[in-house]
Amino acid sequence: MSKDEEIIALFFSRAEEAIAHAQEAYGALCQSVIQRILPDQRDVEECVNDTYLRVWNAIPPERPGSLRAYMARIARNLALDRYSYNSAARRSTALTEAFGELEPWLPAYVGDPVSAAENQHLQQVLNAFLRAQSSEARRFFLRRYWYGENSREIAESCQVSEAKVRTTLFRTRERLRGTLEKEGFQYE
Amino acid sequence: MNSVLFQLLMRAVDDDLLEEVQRPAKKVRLWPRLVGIAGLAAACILIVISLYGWPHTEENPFPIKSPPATDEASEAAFAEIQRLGYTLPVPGGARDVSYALVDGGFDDMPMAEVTYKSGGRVYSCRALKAQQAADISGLDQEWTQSLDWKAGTLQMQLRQSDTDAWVGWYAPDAGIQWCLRGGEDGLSLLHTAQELLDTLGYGVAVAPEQAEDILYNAFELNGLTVGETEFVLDGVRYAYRMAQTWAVDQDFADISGLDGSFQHELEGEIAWCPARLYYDDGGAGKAVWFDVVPGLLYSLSMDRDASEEALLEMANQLFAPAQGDVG
Repeated sequence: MSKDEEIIALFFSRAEEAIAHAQEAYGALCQSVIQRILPDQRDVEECVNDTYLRVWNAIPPERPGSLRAYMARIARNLALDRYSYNSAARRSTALTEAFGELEPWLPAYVGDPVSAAENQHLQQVLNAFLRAQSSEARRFFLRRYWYGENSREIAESCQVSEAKVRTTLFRTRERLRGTLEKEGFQYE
Repeated sequence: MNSVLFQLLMRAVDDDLLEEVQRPAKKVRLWPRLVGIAGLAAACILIVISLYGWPHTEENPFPIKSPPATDEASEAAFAEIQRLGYTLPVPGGARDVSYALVDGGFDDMPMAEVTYKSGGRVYSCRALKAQQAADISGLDQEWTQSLDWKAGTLQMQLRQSDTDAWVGWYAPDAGIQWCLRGGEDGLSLLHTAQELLDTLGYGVAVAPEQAEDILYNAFELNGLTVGETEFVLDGVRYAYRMAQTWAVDQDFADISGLDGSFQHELEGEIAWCPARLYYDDGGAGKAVWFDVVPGLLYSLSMDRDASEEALLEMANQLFAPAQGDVG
């Protein structure tokens, strides 16, 4: 039984030590994910704790294939919720800086709010685009622009050159723009 | 930052995709981290990458038509640029295209320039008739990265500082220096330039016809300027590298960047060049060889399905001697 399976089994048996094991295994990961989205350290700590609570409430019934990936995704989404909630205190973070890099390749949404239909269309096109990319390109792209990791961090964790990450990101941005234009999204 | 778009995009991606990218990568480490292109100072080392011909015609070596200009002054400049024999390629989908003739201070020789927007970025591409490679960027900076190399018949240049970058190429046959500016990332700019070079009929990337995901890079590795083409063919990722060296040792340098031990280590030849082959059965492998007369080091790496036959077949397919076919 793998470490993940052991921890998940503890969650299923409702043993509170499951949280301690999850914290030991993936606490640092969750913290680093959240830190790229939230600038305030108190928010980060609260959000990390919220992540454990959310995982505790979700398992069971859910049984994630990778606890690491599952917790990273939950931590990210909770941090994003808190970032939105604390709109008055918004400051630049690694994720917003990464988004700034991507923004020139995105369609020009000037009107607020975006219509639900347009929103849904963008979501469908984006996910179809991502699924059509190589797994490596998708990994680089999402870790850069949806998790806020920089190219050096991605290169280190994926064991490739930083030059390759930057090159692949550039090409994927170009392809994304081409896809969105073909799908009728308007650019300035 | 458009916060509406930010929130929309951040919540648009499916959960399974967000989780997938946080799982440990299945890929075995194959390409050790390259030495970055930072920190290279004055030493400009020439690489001769395999020769690729470009279409020669007596009238106009560049049959590609540039797209129409966007205003009257620009249209007049475009006509004059054509009359002077310049071709300034613009990528498909470019917007706000504008042509001009500018005084670059080069012996009254007018310099052609086109500016355009692409991918949300403003680019400027210049061309100047010149006897030799020159810096026509108009930027006077302390460059933190400075690479010069040859790709086919072209003399390539890449300069980067903290705030600017440009990529240039000089075509001795045409006697024209081009320079592309836009953004601050030299490597991204090199890939944009690659598209323009393709339009002009110069192929700098060396890959089989059916190859996909072709990426052309230049970087500094252990004091050598390395030109690299990465590509995928039949699911196998290859990296083909070349670098000029002044060393003549029989024990020539390995520029593959693929370290570690292999099940098989063989000596052989690729064309007339001494070669060393390394591979694991069905796994990763590399061939390194040295063309001593022009002083060119080569390597070919593949991330799987390696064998002596596979390495030799691809190496012989890609290797185009700088001095042409001999014997």
